[in-house]
Amino acid sequence: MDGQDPESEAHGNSEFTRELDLVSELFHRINRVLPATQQLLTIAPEMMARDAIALMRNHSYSQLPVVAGGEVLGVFSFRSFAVKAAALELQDIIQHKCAPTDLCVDECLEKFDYARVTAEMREVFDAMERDNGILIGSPESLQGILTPMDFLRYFYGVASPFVMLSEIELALRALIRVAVDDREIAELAERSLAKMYEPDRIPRTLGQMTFDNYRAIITHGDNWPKFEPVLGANRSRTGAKLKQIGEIRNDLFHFKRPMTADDHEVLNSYRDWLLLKAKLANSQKKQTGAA
Amino acid sequence: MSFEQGQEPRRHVPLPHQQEFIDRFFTSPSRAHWLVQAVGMGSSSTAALVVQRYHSSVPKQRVLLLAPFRVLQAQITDVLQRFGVPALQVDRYRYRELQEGAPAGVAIWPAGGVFILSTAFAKQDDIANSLAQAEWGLIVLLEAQEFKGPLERLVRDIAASSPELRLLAVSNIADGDIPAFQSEPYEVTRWTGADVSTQKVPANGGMSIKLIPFQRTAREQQLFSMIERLMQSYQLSEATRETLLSLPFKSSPAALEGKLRSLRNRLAHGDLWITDSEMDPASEAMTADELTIGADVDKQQFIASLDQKLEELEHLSEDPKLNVFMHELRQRPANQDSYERVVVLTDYRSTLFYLHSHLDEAGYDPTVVHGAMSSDNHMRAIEYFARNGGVLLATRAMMVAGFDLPNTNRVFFYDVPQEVHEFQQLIGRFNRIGNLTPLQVYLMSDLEGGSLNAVEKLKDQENL
Repeated sequence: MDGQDPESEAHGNSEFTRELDLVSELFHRINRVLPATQQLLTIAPEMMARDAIALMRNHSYSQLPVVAGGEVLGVFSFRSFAVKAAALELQDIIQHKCAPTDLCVDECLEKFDYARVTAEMREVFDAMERDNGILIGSPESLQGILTPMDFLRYFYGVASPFVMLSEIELALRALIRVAVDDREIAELAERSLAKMYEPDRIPRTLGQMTFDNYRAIITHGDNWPKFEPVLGANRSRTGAKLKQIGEIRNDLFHFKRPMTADDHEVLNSYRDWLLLKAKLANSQKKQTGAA
Repeated sequence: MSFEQGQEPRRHVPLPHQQEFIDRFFTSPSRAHWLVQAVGMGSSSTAALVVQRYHSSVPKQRVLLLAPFRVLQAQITDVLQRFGVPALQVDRYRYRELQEGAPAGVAIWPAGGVFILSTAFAKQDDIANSLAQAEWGLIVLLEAQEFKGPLERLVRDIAASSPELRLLAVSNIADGDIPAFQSEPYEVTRWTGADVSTQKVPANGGMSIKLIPFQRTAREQQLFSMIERLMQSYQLSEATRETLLSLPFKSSPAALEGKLRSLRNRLAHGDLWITDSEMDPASEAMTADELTIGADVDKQQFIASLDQKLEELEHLSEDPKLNVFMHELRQRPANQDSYERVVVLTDYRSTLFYLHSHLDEAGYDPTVVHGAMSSDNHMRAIEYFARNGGVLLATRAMMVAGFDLPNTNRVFFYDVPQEVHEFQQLIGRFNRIGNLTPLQVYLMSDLEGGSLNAVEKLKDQENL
């Protein structure tokens, strides 16, 4: 059916698929920035600029590849249209009796660079800055179009769990300090971490402790009364939240799996929860100070 | 088939009925086989063994497996890789790299490859076209009863372009006929407990169902009503109120709190800006549709009201459902020895962690399985539980297919499924053919819920 020689070793053996598996999984390349759900929209060269602009506004796109016979001729964008329209003189418009929006898109093209899906990200930054976009694939086999917003979303997705976890951990430490002083922290640690460490290895300061240590100290039955005023009334649910955060943290920092929308939702929600607790602790402190 | 504490879990040694099917698949003149099975008969491992044997006999042929659930795809990939078959799960990212790697005029799918795709991905137009342009040696359809519409067309197109194609379709008995993807009729194999028992494989140890009723406190009911009125006043749809309020409330205060906090966060800060590459049935993330509130609603006031309700929810200390569950967990059936395996199933990850917190404190040291774990941790947890017993807390979505837990003594449905076929699918993970351990099933039943649902009506039945 496809004309390929099944005996060929140049293409199509299990070594290839194993290699693909590793590289695809491990390295952040252009492929990962291009959204999996991107619906590539292309237009024909004879489409009028007016219709192309309406289409772009409808889809919130800034540019559209122009394709004829399966091959990319160029890109029609707001910029390329503006450049063409700016070049027209009144005489041209009067002579041809047409407005700029009556032009066909192939009269308003610009060229974008191409990148392979396996290209490194920074290889395309210059082109991205210059043209506000880049085409992925080749003129004969277009796979997608990449814009600065795609990069922003991608980096947000990769970075935001780390940022949120740092906020969560720092907020938790701050709330622990509101609830107890350094001497008490050492005493609480002795009580609640004894089963996890040798006696002389028990961490006694917040800086020495892990996130799981914080959870163990806070949710220990004898310690909880000290933390209830800052973390809320429900010990078991506080413990459940911290356990869930701890699991995500462990998976993220040890790169065990990609973060999902669910993880983002959990981290966002619990970050909010701690933010509210921190605001409350802050206002109570101010009131106490004022008093 | 006895099982002792500390014993290595059995690893895919075919049972006689499986081996018979595999042999027949390769010796029969028929190229299209339909395996119709009751849940728990080992169809996933049978499919993997068929692929292994096919791939080792014709290594240059392409093999395609289509599965509807991410969990099932991951499990089949894992099984095949353990068998030494280089199976590759293909999503949009991998597909682009395959496209880039294919020389001009050559099919994207390398010869000799074993490719596992989700049905959601495979039916996308460009992917379906690409699959239909390649020549395939073997195609395996898991949960074949789902292959209607675009999926049916896809398989027909593949069959039309692949003259040497062998087809294996696997479906559950209850789900009716599957489409005829090619003109050749299927050779049908049916596995039921009775059929298999004639092959001298012992039937399972039997199962009984017990209803565990509980009643929410007046304070819980009052708070729920207040939150419901709040949601109505801010014009959240009925479907959204069910997703965000009624169903989580039935599960646990933690589940309700989790959903309300997610709603609050989205209202306050906007959309998550993160989408998964494929819809994950195990996902609990809310969709944009679920968050549509009335256009004239004062969002800030809604958020302030939600904050107040969350504070009140935090002060709910009594949980009668949890109390009843812990009491029942501590009881042990009269014929139970000291070593037992207990599985607790819930719909919500927040309920799972909530239960973990209580069980941990009560000295149970539970194992946990849910959709947000790495596959390594997942397999490790299952194997640990299979070897050592104790209590396993799991979300229902992780039990859809492929992960077997035979020799389980007790299963608690902390959240009861609505549909009998869902219940049967889940029970099939524990009530495996050849498993001699009697299974006691508990359904945590909300007395305020009105009449019993279809699953709860199975109560007091023995030897299902």
